[in-house]
Amino acid sequence: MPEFDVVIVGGGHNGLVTAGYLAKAGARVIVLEKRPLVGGACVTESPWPGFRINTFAYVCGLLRPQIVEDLQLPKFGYETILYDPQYAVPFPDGRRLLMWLDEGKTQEEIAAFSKADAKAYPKYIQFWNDVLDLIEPTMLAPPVPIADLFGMFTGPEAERLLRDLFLVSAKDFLDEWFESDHLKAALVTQAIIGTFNGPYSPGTAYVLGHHNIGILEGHREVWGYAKGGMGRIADALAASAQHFGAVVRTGAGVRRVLVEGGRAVGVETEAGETIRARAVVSSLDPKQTFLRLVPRDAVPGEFLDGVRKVRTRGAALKFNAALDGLPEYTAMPGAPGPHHNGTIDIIPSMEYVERAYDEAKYGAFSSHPFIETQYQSVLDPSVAPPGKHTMTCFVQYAPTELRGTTWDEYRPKAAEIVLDTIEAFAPNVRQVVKHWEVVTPTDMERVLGLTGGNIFQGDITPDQIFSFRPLPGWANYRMPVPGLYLGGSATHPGGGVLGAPGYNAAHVVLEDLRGTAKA
Amino acid sequence: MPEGTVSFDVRAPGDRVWAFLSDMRKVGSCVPGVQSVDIHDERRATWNLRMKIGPLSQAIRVETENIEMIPPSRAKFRGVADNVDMTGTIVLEPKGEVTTVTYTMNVQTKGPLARILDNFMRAKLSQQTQEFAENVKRSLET
Repeated sequence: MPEFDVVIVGGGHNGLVTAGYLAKAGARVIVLEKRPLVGGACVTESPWPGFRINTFAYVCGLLRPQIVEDLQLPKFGYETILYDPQYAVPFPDGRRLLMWLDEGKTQEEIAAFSKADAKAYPKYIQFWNDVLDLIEPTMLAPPVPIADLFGMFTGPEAERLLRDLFLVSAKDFLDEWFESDHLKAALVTQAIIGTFNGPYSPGTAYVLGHHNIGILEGHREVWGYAKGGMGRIADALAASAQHFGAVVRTGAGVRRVLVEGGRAVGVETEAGETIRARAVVSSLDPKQTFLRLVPRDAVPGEFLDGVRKVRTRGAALKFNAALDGLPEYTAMPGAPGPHHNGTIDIIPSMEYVERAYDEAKYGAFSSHPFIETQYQSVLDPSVAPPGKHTMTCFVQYAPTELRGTTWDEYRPKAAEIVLDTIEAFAPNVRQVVKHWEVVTPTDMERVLGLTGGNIFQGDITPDQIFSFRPLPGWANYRMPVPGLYLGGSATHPGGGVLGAPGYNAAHVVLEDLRGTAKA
Repeated sequence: MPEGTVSFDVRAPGDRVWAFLSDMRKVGSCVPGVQSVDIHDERRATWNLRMKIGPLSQAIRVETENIEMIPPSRAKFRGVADNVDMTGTIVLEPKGEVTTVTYTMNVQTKGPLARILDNFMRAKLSQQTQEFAENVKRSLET
């Protein structure tokens, strides 16, 4: 009998969720993570002494509450900070829009741009609340065939919803709701985050929905900080899994998945160790799993073709910095001001973002990028030395490959563009930045194994969600090699720190180990 | 299997509560979402429900049958719809002018959307049973 029931390749947050549920159910589980720390893209690191930086993922809220409860994460250090305002957007015309947790306060802000939009805003929030009621039950379950799902949408009202959610662009969707370009700019950010599409691309309204599923401290459609940094989520997941009996090993990259008699029977580590198990769960993306780890002759050629066609285009880079003080925004005086609590978006208009995308489509880093910035240290002093601050910027668009150069060569130029862009809104930014790093799509692939630097392990567009994820016919976590499962963000319901793919994979593996799988 | 249960006191004697809850039309009118009840005979009826799932509204036809009637303390019924089977149990404990009612609803989902419906029912059943309790109290106490 093998030493383990399940070996999990990759100690990202999904791999750890899978480990936690399997171990809690009594399975003997080992997690193998190649980096010296767990978390994958959900990590906090200290590139400069005293500063704790969210290198990749930067805000929380998507992690499903049931997972937090089932795995007892608060007991293991999981703590969140709900910030308010949620968004602050400074505009080039000197105006600004703050989006508060309090709907009435946000309406007052919106009324400065359009009274009609202020009136429509509560209906818009209610719309997404209703959609969340619909989407949430689909998340902690394997995806149903898309045709069955669409079959639920009968009647004119439902058909309109189907069109809005899956077929239209974020721009068209928002144009139908609101008239103010300022408000639409503020809202469209969620439709493009991490996605290699512009807001004018059909299907981006769904991405808007995907990012509106946050639940934190009883609030819906919200974001917050993980106290101490995103790595604390991964640490809590690892501690929980270990508490239930899982072995979590870092510095343990996997060289290959072992296949014997047509069945996955374990893995061989980069150090040459063989670890046998009844099942192997890969939380890596399908390209890393099947084009690098699984023997080519173990899977059908047409399946490999499908894997190659999964779109894993990078869309963004991170610019992280250690600060001596806070940037002062011309349109939002005061440092710190309430706007420093949460996300500050540089997004003057939907057209601005579309133009930023246009450049990236042809292999260039956007000369005027969309930038989403957080200063976590303002609400969480534990991440910076006294009097100092952290700044993390999520910057779009950064294509996987640059035409005529490489990301390693272009890195300093990218940093200049980011600083120039912020400086136009916060003139003192260069004075307060003491250290910076640029994390490019190439870095994300090199360090994390995210193919193309795609933060979701595959675009979250309507053709790559539900039963199409990771590819049609293979959406129920079981792969063509018996005993091999996929359980990362590449699987339903997709990327972000949700934990849902890991949850679903764990339950499918348990069914198979117990022989209780439904036909 | 999703289950919702609620226990509540009604200010009415046991025989009156029993008379109400053993009347398929009346008990159906207290189930959230039921639009109409078609009585077929003393044991069988059809409930025509409209269920809201997020922004979607689904029409559901449930064929119900009383499978256990022990006056004045216990009733059990079964309901069958396209994707859902349900079993409801009502237990009465008369205490003078007050009757304690315990209502339990078990739901078994089926078909390709079973797991999603399971999750949905888990989220909604406690609210549904609570609404049922409020509707029964309102009907009997006013």
